[in-house]
Amino acid sequence: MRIVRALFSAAKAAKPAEPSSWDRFLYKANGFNKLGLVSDDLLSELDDAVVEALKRLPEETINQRIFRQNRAALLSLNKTILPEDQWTKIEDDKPYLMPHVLEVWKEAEEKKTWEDKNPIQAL
Amino acid sequence: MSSNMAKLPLMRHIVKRGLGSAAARALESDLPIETSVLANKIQVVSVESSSPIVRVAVQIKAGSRYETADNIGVAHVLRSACGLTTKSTSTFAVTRLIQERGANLWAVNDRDSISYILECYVQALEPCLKVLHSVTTEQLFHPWELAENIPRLKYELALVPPQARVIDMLHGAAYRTGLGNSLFIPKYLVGSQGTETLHHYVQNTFLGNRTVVSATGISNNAAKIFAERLNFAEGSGLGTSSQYYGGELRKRCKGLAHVAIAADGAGINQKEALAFGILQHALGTGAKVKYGSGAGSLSKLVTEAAAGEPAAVSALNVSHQDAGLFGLVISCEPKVAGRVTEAAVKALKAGNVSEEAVKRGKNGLKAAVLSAAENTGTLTQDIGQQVLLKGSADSAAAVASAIDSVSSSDVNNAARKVASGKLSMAALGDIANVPFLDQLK
Repeated sequence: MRIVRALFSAAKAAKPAEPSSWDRFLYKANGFNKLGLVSDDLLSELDDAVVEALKRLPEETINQRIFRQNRAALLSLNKTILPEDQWTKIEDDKPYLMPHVLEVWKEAEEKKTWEDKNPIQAL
Repeated sequence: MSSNMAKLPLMRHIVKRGLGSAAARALESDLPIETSVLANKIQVVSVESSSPIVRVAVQIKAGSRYETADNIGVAHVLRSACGLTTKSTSTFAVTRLIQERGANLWAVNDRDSISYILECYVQALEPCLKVLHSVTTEQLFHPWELAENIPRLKYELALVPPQARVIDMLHGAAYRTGLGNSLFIPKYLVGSQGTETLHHYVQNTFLGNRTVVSATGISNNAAKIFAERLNFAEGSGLGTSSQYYGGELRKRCKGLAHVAIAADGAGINQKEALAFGILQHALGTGAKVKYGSGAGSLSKLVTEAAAGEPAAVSALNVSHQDAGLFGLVISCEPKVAGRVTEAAVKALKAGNVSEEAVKRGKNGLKAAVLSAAENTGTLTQDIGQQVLLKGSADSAAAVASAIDSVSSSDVNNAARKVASGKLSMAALGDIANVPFLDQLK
């Protein structure tokens, strides 16, 4: 479900359109921004494609992701949220992982459908 | 017994048929070589052999000599990155497209050039050429794929034979930079030549003026159509020096003693190149008979010096575009390494070659040239290299007659040049007994 949601946001991020007030309301209602997360932080490492995609990120980006996740876990344990000025803004929420996940999916799809699309011909 | 066998009608029939078909078929070395230059400055060279196997090689002046201090080892990484994801084809697709058609695609590099070689059945040519095009022009060098490639680089480094390593060190000692760059990435730099370094190197070397497409088994026009679509930019790209300095490199490790010693020789473009080739075969390129010893003066002196211990020696002649090395390589038991090295250097510095030795050298070199030309795989690479480095390609038959016309005074001049030249030396292995360069007379 989270992946679907992230996909949705990735599709939206492709368009440079200004987020509407409804988008802003939904983004806040999700709540993860109050823990300092961005939407791609929600992509679970239980998914093999995400694990593969994470290997393709620069080290610094991965470290930032780990920091945000640890901070969110701590906040959640303390049953608190960040002060409002540190909440993630919808404008700052750029998909850093989803493009790679899409790429990994595409590669898996190519492997799966290779025989159908490229039948072996006798020479 | 065999002559009696041939008298039987059946056997005679087979013998006749075999000889008949051998006579009818044109030798690969006699086929005409067609060369042309395209509008995008790429040179195309082809031999239209009747082989059902097509071989197409894209050869580019991007060998290790064009590396600088900032990107040492990039040529090796580039070679090992052949077949990684490109703009239009993923690694998986490259592998499948090539293997399902029983084709082969690989890259080799030397100090001057890198070659992407495709070998396939003629009916499967079109899809395979598309892959070759994609691999040579649309590289992406994804960082994660380069990272996954590191174990392969380490494996290759572990497999480098000591003789290759010692010749590599010899180049380092003789030329220092440029031609002295190693063919192999140093261990401490594995993983540090990344995407941007590779892209920068490719942009500065993969240019129309520096590229040759060589093909056997297809027509010159077909090769031209493929070459026209290679969209390399124009420009001259990186240059490099090939000044000979001379020096010594030693590295101690386990095993036998491996020694390479050489003086300044001749490049492919210089007219003495053939004389040095003859001199190499006159001195001897190792045993040609199983359990035998070489015929040249070199192996005679070395066998005497080794006194029954295992020792192998071969004359070495390396010709690059504008410079070359001439000398010898020795592998021997460590305890006789001192005597063997001294004896070999004595043969190398003799400075004159007898008439019989010149004849033997000519025969050896001609046989080597002609038998190499019989294999279309070698032929494809060879004509491409000639055009790339020399500007034109000669057929093996032409080279063989050029060898015949070299006079024995030319060979003697080459020998004198080596005898009076400044030596370079590299030694690898258990080399406690190997004399240092300044101790050699």
